[in-house]
Order: sequence, then C-alpha cells, then structure tokens
Amino acid sequence: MNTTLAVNADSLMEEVRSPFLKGSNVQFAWDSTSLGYLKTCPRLYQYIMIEGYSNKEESIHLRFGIEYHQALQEYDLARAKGMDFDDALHHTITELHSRVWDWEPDRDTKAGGYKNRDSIFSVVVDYIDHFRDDPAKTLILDNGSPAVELSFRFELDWGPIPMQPYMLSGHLDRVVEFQDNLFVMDRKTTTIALGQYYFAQFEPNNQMTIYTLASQVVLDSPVKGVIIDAVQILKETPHRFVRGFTYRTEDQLQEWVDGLQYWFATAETYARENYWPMNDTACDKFGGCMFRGICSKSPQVRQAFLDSNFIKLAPEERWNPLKPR
Amino acid sequence: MQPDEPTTVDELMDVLPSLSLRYAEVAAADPSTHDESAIAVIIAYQRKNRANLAEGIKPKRGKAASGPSKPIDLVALGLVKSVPTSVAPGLKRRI
Repeated sequence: MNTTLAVNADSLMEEVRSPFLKGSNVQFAWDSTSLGYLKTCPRLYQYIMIEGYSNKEESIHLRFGIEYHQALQEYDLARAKGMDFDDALHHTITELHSRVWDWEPDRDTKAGGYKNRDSIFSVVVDYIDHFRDDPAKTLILDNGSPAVELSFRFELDWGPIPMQPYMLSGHLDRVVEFQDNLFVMDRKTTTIALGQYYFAQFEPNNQMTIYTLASQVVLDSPVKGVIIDAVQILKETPHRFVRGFTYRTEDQLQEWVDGLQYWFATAETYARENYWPMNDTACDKFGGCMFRGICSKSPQVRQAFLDSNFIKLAPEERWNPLKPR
Repeated sequence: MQPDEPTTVDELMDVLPSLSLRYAEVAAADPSTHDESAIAVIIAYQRKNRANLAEGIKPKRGKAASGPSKPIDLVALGLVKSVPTSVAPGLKRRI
C-alpha cells in the first residue's frame, strides 16, 4: 500500500467524488459494503451500486443504524473529553431527540416494528447504562483526539488504470484499549439471538478483515482484531448486549489482499461487459435478499417490478465509499 | 409544569403512570417546545420500561408509547355483528 490517509471525518469534507472512473461503471474506491455486495451477488451489486435502487425497509435499517452510531459516538466523545456520566447521557439523548422527534417509520413493517423512535431511545439509554464502567477504553490519538468514528482511506498498489489506484475506505466506530491490546470496536444492531451462530459470521468476514487491515495501516499499530459490540433489539424483554472477538493474523490479511486483486479484476470485467450475473445461491442469505422478489420474476417483467417496488436514488444519494459520515 | 413536579430522572421514575403519558408527549414534541425536564423524562421512562421488562411486565402492544390509544369499536363500524369475549386456548380469534 503506497499511500495512507488517516484522519477524522471533518477533514474529509471535500467535495464528494464518484467512486467510479469517469464515464464508466468501473469502481475504483471501495469499502466493505460495496465489496460485500459484489462478493455476495454481482446482480445485488448492480442493483444497489450501479443503478441505485433502494427500498423502504432498507431505509429504516439505515436510519436506525446511523442514529445509533451517532448517538454513541457523541457519548464516547463527551466522556473522552471529561464530561461525567449523567451529563454525557443527557447530552447524548438531547442531541438524539433533536434528530428523531419527528421520525415515524411505519411500525406495521417488520423493520419499523423493531426500529423506530422509541426503540432508538431505549437501546441508546440501555447501552450507555450497561457499559457505564466500560472495561474497553477509547484510544487517545497522538493529536489528543479520541479514536472515535475514524474515517480511513488508503490507496493500493494497483488500479484499474495507471493514473488511478484502487482505494479502500471506511469508518471505524471506535478504537479501544482492552487488556493491554488494541482493538477496533464495531457496533452492530440485530434482531437475531447473539449466540455462537451470530458471531460465527464474522470469521472469516470481509468487513472485519478490512477494519483490521485499515486500523493497522492507519494507526501504524499492531491492532489485534475487532470487538463486535452487538445489541439484540427486543420488544418484550430488555435489549441484550454481547461482545465477541475476531482476530486476524498477518498471513490472513495478506491472503485477503491477494484475493482482492481477483475480485477487482472480476468487477472490471462485469463493468466492461455491462453484465452482472445473478448468484442464485445467495438469495436466502442474511434473512433473504431484498431483491429476491425481483430476481424470481421473468427477465422480461423484472424492470417493471423494480420500478414499482423500489425507489431509484439520485447519484448523489447512492452509497458512496468516498462520502464522509 | 407545576413547581413541585419531579424533574430529575430518579424522581421521575417513581411517578408512573404519569411518566408514561409525559414520555408520549415529549418524545414526539419539537425540541424547541421542551421544558427542562423533557430529556430526563425520556431517560426515566426508558429505565422504568427496562425494569418492567426485566420483571416480566410486558409493554402495551401497538402505539401505546406514542400516545393514549382508543380501542376500535368494530361493531359500531359495522365490521362485525359482535365481538367474542373469549376464545378457546390455542385458537386464534377470527373476526
């Protein structure tokens, strides 16, 4: 990796570039989300990244995740700056309320039933109470700022054209010191049980490998791996908080980067052929792909169903690995 | 708000069910209209709710937390002739 850029989100606030080479569907800037779509199913990647389709349920999950992460980021920052527990909690809920007081997702949908204004308040208050004396301490960077919501971006040694290297970007929720080791902490919200089956999905895992790799590049420190800081959102019992660990060796990281060359070459081929094949063994993954109802239709009628069941986002609203949070 | 009304999180947690009603008001209210205790109400309500859930007291279904709900009178609306008062265990009520 020939160039690194490790900064807080504020300093990445330049004009947002397209992650694609100009006039093409060749993506040069990648993050774990877009790479995950490609690896899961090229057609899924096409619908979301190339064509910009989204649905209502997806927007509820996305909004809830954004509010959850932002609230806990504000809490972490307040605590790292010396604010006491009660004041930091009050500050966090004040800011959260100012953003969600008029958020009314449709509670008759499965997503809206679990993820809405009341549940975002409850899960944030519960998290902060649960981890009041958190044994994982936020790392303080050399510049004095806490390692919270760290945006990273770095160039790789090769690219789709000579003038444009590939880039990996993303956001680390928090880097912590835990039992004399450094870990990335990644927050997850889910409605499924937090057992062995849930945590098994992170090993191997595209996102967690990128985060381990990125944190080592960005912090120039031997980060051990990622702590999965998960909450199970529940309606009739208190929310459940469980943390799991996932580790990566140097050899595993190198193997992942080696594989990346093949994935990017494959993505270039799809883009140049303007065809993204369907991986019909992935349709039932993660609770069922949101486009399963589209891909199950005959190709001749698929576009009509896409247009009626999904919204097509404007290019600036689409998922973009170069967009700062 | 009256001068003697509770305002701190701990005080507020002792005043259910009025806490539930106040939460419903403030959670959906424009923050510019808040009084000083509004955020404490939200925190206290969520802590009380968590304590209730831990004791097995389930929340009301539907949109109770968003405001007082009024049952729909299906008979008055002409949707059914009568509403059965009970069903046999294991059977779903069908109307």
